[in-house]
Amino acid sequence: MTDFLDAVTAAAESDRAAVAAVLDEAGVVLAPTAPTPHILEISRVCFSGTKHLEGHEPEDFVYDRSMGPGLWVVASNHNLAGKSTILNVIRWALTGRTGRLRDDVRSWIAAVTVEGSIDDQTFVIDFTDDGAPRGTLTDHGQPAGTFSGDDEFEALTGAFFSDRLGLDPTPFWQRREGGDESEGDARRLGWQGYFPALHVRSGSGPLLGEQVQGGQAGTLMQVFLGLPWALTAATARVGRRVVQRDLNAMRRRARDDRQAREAAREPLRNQLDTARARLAALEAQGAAPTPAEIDQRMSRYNTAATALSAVQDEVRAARATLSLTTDAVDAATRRHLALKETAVIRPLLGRIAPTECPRCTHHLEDVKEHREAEDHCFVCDAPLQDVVEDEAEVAEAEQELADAQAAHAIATAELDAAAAREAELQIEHDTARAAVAQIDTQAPAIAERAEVVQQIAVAEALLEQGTQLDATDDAHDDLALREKILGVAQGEAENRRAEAARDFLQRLGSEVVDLGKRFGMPNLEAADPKLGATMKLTIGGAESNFGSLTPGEQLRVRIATLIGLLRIGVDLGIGRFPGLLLIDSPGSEEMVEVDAAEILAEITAIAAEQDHLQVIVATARPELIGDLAGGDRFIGGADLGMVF
Amino acid sequence: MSDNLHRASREQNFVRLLFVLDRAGVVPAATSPEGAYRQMRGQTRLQALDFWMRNPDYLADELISDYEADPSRTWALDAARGILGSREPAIRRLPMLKWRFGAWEPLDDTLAIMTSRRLVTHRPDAGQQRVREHLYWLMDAGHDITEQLLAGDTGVFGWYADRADLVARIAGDTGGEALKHRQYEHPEYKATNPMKPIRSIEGRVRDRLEALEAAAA
Repeated sequence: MTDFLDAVTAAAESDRAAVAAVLDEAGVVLAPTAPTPHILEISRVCFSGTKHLEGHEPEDFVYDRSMGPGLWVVASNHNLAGKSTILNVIRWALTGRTGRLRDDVRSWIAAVTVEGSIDDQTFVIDFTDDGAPRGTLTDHGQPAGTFSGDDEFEALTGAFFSDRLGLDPTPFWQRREGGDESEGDARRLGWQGYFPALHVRSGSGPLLGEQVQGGQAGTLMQVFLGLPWALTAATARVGRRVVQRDLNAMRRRARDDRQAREAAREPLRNQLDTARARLAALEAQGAAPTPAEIDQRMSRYNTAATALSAVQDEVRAARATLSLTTDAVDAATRRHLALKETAVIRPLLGRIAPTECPRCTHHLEDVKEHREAEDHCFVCDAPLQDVVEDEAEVAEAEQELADAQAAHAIATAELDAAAAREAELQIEHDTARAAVAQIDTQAPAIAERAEVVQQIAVAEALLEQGTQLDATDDAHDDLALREKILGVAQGEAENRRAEAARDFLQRLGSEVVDLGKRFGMPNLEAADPKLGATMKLTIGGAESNFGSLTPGEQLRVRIATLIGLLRIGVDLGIGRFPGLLLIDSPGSEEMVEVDAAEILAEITAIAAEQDHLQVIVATARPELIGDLAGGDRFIGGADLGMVF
Repeated sequence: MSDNLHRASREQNFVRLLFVLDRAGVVPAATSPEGAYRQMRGQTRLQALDFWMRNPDYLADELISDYEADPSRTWALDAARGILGSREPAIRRLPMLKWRFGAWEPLDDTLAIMTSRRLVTHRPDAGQQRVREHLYWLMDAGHDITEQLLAGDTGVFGWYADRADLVARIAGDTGGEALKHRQYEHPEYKATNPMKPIRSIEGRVRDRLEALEAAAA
């Protein structure tokens, strides 16, 4: 058989460490538990008081009997002789609860002492009662506690016997009144809850114990059996219920939160719509430039200003250059004109011979004949400038002028271009500056816009947050996983327990049928007990539940079941019955003599079979037991009269 | 505008004075020599007229004043626009040195060119008290040369003819001293130190024309 933890890990498709953590937290026991029975034995019952019966004088009484293992009979021919009282007093002393002890009978009792042993270690419970019990517990000769009042009595006995009998700290699920299946609390079976299993009464009720509530009967089954994996299954089951409860609570809370968020969302959405509409209106009006636009305007202005400044420098430079070229053109023009004019005048003058002295105006009649060659001045014979040289100079000057004009044209073009750019950039600059100046006038709208943008951002963020919360709320992954793991563990443990129980239950069923027939149910054909202490029975071909049997049939089956549990438990080595069995009036109800005799015979037999079994039977039909018990085992009243 | 110290050639001085005499001279008196085409009294006048030939900015200013005095003289405004609208003030300016109370530019060499060839004649004016005053006559031969020059490449010497006409018109029959005085009254002229070139008034004249144009608009 594979390791339990591995089996759960595989089935849950998780990892071993995670599964171990979950099971550990829920207190799930990972190994099959073997029963370690502790034997409880009553050695003495003693109580005293004063009987008050109507029409009678108050009568003091004392009851004091010792006993040991085996069958003991409290018998009387009379009803209301106090047979049940003995059993009830034992129960009262051991649990602190009066149970079925009648109030009037209780009021008669003044003092009680019950002695016994658990695993051969003695204990004494000793108390007085005048409406409220007050007493002591002595354990192995040592004082082990005192109590005063019902609550303390219950608490002390509960703790003592739970501990000494090694009762499983087995949890069961107590459903909350009016709640659904998942609403409940984990409860542990206390000694007070245990005890009713040892006290078999007639009358209708569950197969075992006294309470029908969820799982307790099945849990009581464990009083008699230590089915392996029972504790594991129980702890897993209860652990799972706890997680389910918490999970549902969380889901409920999450649902409520989500609804609250949704409710809050509505006004938030309205706020958002309003703000968005306002923003749209502002933008449609163009009343408020966005921060990005403002930056853009500033940057555009800066760029324009810089560009304008640069082009203005260019224009200045172009003007300066143009001025230089203008000067150059002027100079070249002057030179050209001078040369051209001079080139015409000079030869013209040269052809006119002076007739007077330039200084004294004396007539120059006898001037020398001017030479034919015109390359010397005929007055002073100085060489004359050649026309060709003149023309060459003029041509050169013309070229220079053309060059200067070309340069001037270029400079003009450049200046024009620069000026044109300047004009464009000036417009751009002025426009940009106006746009920036406008910002001041738009300041209130800008502020409003910023505020509205902020509102939108906040509303959107809150809505987004809500959406995200909605998404994460549904997770509860952790709890869901734990629930899954515990469910798997429960299933695995129940399977293993079921396997172990299958064999047992089969045999129990046979035993119940066997005994049932002998107890007076000849038509009992089949019995199918379950671990939950329910039983299907086939009687005369018809199927019925335990609950639908008559009280008499129920008593027979109950006793048959108990005996079966005891016997087979021992046979299979899974018995863990504490040894004390109180049976009240097994021969009552519609018992036929034979049946009652059978029952009592069987009870006697089982008491003899098992060493540690101590059965105390209260019956009104002592004759049926007869020799079975042996004379000294009668602990009833004298002459089968009043017990006390 | 640079204060250019361009000097004209002998030939340019010759042709300029030739046209001044030709266009600003008056019909010769009966006592004039044979073959005289035009006459002009006094070197002062000649120099004053030459001043306007050599200083287009001063001439333009004079034209504007003339127009302002009598707005019917639109020719004066047009002429001023023409001068200032071209490169003439830069190209044709031939600054003269200032001497005491007037422009000083010896005309002797230029006149010698003319007189030695009998293109111009002069003699002291007998009718005057001061000996310095001369009478100048442009002879027919001199006039012929002007025609000859104009008949040639008109683009070259046309300016001299037009300008001389304009100067003659603006001067009217005002005496030489009076003309010189008009020129001297310009603060820039007055402020010029002796033997320094007489300063340009181009900037002021342009502003004046601009203001006039703006007012008219």
